Amino acid sequence: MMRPVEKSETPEYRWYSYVLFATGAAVGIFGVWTLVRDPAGNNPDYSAITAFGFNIGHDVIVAPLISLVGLAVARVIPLRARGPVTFGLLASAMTLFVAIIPLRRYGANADNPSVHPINYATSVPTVLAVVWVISAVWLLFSYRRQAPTL
Amino acid sequence: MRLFDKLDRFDPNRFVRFRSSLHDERVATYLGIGLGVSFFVCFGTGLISHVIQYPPSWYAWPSRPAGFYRISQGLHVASGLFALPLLFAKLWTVFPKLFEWPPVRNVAHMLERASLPPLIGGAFFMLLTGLANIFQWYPFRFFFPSAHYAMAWVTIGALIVHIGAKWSIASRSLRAPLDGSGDDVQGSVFTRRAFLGSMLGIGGIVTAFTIGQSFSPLGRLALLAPRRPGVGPQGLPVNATAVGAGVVDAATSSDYRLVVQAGTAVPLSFTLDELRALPQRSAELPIACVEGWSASAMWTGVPVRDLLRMAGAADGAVAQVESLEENGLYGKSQLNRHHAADPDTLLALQLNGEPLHLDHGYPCRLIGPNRPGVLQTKWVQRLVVL
Repeated sequence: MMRPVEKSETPEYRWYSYVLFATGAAVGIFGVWTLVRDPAGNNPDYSAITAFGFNIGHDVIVAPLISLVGLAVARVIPLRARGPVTFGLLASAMTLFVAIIPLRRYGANADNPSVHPINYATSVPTVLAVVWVISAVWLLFSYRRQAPTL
Repeated sequence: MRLFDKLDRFDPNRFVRFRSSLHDERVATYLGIGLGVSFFVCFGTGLISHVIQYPPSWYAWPSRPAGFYRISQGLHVASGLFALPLLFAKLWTVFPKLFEWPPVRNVAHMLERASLPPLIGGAFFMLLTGLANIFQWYPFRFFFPSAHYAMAWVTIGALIVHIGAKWSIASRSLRAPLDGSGDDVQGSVFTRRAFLGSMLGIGGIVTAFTIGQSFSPLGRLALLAPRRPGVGPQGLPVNATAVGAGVVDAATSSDYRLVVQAGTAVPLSFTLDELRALPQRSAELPIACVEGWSASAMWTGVPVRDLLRMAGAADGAVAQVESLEENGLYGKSQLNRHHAADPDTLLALQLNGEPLHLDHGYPCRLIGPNRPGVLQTKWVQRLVVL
């Protein structure tokens, strides 16, 4: 049965929920203590702001952007092709997200050619090609499965 | 909460509508299980590496099985990369919850929601700083290993709270009968099943094109990986170079000596030729980095236990290896009783039958089984019994 996440009822907390709350809180407090006890190494304020910034960045930019792309796909792409196209777009986005660091040569060291040892300008398009081949095969199967029979 | 009932006109759901059938409890549950497993694997394998590098006084990490550290850190990075698309998918699936109204319903619910910023922020912090680290890119203003370790505890704590809060909902949604709603029976729209399969597939793609950095048979597939097993001096990657460590002159000097010292006994001193004249042993051992990459090679050199015996050290001695690199973070490493006594713990002089390349630690480096790469000290000049 489908149950939209926003329609969820107030969670039922059982006894084990409270055990896990207490355990999680203790573990988390240990983490905060570990973070703040080495201010020179951990820069706790900066680390906390960075983590909180990732939260905000996701909620304000990434999630709305994905929703907008989803809306655009729903409007532009024919029904049968939506699955493969959405997969292709998401897989391409994730590939580029992972590859953006080496593509921009961040962290590369002229002294040490064993770091970033690949020509990412050709290897990343190869991965993207594999992604879209998978999408195309899915699309083909999707249409073949739907082909009208006599 | 009555206050929020009075503020119903501010309910964001009056303005925002989420129509996709993918914003669904069962989808969120499956993604949450996948993420939870990935994060606990990541946390456990990360903790292993931390304990080896900063061991408590009562514990000595074993030297066997030789490849265990390699597998654990390959798993650490692979599970982190696999989790990345799952995290985005999970957060998008539950995005409507951000507009939940009333935003808090009771004290426990308020605490549950308060655990979300550390959970989500911590999860992104761990995965994104980890991603930058495997590519050796450090744009942040903290020491990566230390902050990554501390934030791991914060994140896993928040995750445990979240599991406590969601257990009953997750159990209910997994038990609920499937009625096909949200799944297009013609199989042509992006169904919940197709969405979950796609997310697993994307995680699989990212993993498949990077895992070759630690699993040599898939080395040629490592099209997104920061390392390749066969690329580097003598066909083996390195992290620190001799130039970067500032040891070129000292390592190539004819004055080089290895000093072995046990207690108050007169220290032993060896030239490189004298080390070569000692009984040699060969062992196939991996260099395995916490950044996930690893590669095996055949190392030849003098067993550390032989040198310790020559210096008069007792059985079960603990030793410290010191590098010519005096200012580096990893210029010294300790050998606990297991590693010091293991016959395959070598001060290596050769790699795959050739003298060590300068970047691999020429004239002499430590190599031992089941140790992190950062503790395989290069350009060794002293071996001291502690």
